[in-house]
Amino acid sequence: MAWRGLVVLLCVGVLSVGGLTRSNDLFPFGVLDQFSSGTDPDGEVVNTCLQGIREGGEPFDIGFGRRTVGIERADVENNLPAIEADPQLLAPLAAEYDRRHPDQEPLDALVLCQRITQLQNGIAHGEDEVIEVTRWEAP
Amino acid sequence: MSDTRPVSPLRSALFPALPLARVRVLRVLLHAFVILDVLTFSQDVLSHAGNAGFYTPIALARLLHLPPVTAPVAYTLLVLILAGSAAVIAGWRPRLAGAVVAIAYWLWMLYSNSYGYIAHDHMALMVAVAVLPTVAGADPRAGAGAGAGAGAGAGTGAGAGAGTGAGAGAGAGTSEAAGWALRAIQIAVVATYFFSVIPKILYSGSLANWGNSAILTWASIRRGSGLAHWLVAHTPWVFVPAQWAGLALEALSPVVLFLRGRALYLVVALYLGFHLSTLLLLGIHFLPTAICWAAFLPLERLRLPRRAAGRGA
Repeated sequence: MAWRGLVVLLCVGVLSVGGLTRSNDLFPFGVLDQFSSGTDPDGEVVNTCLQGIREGGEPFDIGFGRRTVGIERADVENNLPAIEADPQLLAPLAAEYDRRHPDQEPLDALVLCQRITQLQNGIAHGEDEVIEVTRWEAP
Repeated sequence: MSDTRPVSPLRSALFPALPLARVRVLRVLLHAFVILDVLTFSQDVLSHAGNAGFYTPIALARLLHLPPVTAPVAYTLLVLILAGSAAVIAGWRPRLAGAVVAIAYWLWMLYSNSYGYIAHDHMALMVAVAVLPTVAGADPRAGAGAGAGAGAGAGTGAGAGAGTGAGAGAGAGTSEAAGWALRAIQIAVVATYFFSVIPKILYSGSLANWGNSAILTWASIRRGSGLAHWLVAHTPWVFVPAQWAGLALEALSPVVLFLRGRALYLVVALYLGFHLSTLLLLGIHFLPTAICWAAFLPLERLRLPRRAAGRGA
């Protein structure tokens, strides 16, 4: 039984270290920080979005997910700095979207955007604002 | 199993002898869920084969020198998990098959969580698949009979140990190894809630800051259902009390380890109700954790088909 007790202590210890150092790196015993950053009731809600553009057309919304662009929104959000530095990282997303829409023209551009909602006293206020973060353009 | 040495109260509290029949039922339940998981919730490993540029290996993946996942590797892991889980469910060499699933599933989850997003709902399930193969079973016929008998007086985590006659070797259908595995899963379930309190303090400055924040409004706007958006528009005052209620559930979760009987069942229902509400409002099911609440329940009272229940644990 001794080793079993030590295993439990070790796992709880790693979980404690992960929590106190805010490290997700120690998965599955990393920090459990889902929804842990309290949002300012007078702050803003930033919602990452994707828009596709075809020649001559208006930008249109594209959802995240395995069945659209092959990756979830959270994966993209956690790689934002890398994507801003290298928009080519969006190329596989555009390719996956095109692959799933063979009957339509391929995308000319894929825009990574943010839809921003202002809060006032914890309540959504005014119209959403959409800003472009970066874009991938077809070669 | 039939160790007759005296057992300290601490040891019997930490590692109560629990019914092997509960482990057998839990194996079937959790491995059926693992199949569902890899085919749905964590299926992203298959599509990650096309996203090598996003690969940011977490510590264990780096330690194992795992390269970005490829389609052949992903499908090999998938086949191992599906075949191994099917063998466990069928009762064919469940410890060996369970060990194969444990290794393949951990690799699968390392890949699933090495492309940016880290899931926080899989800890208990990963612990479960790792510890269940460590439980050696009793004779199938003795196990089935004793398990059913023990179940009448058991039904809880800590309570089961007392209910079956505290300590090791309480009966032919119980073992400390089974108790440890079930306790480990129970602790992992509770830790999933309790350890989420720490980052709330660190990130928000205090629990009060988090409780009074607009986090549920934020989540509802970002990913809320129609009902959540309706609440944002018409009854936004409901969110702060809901946040404090959630905080109480998380901070008080270790108490569950010491409950038994009806109180335990009510509390389990309360936590599952919490997950149902987040599912309805935010589309967050937390099913990999929710399913592990079964480790608290007297599953030994259930009757499995003969083949799954009758094979050695």
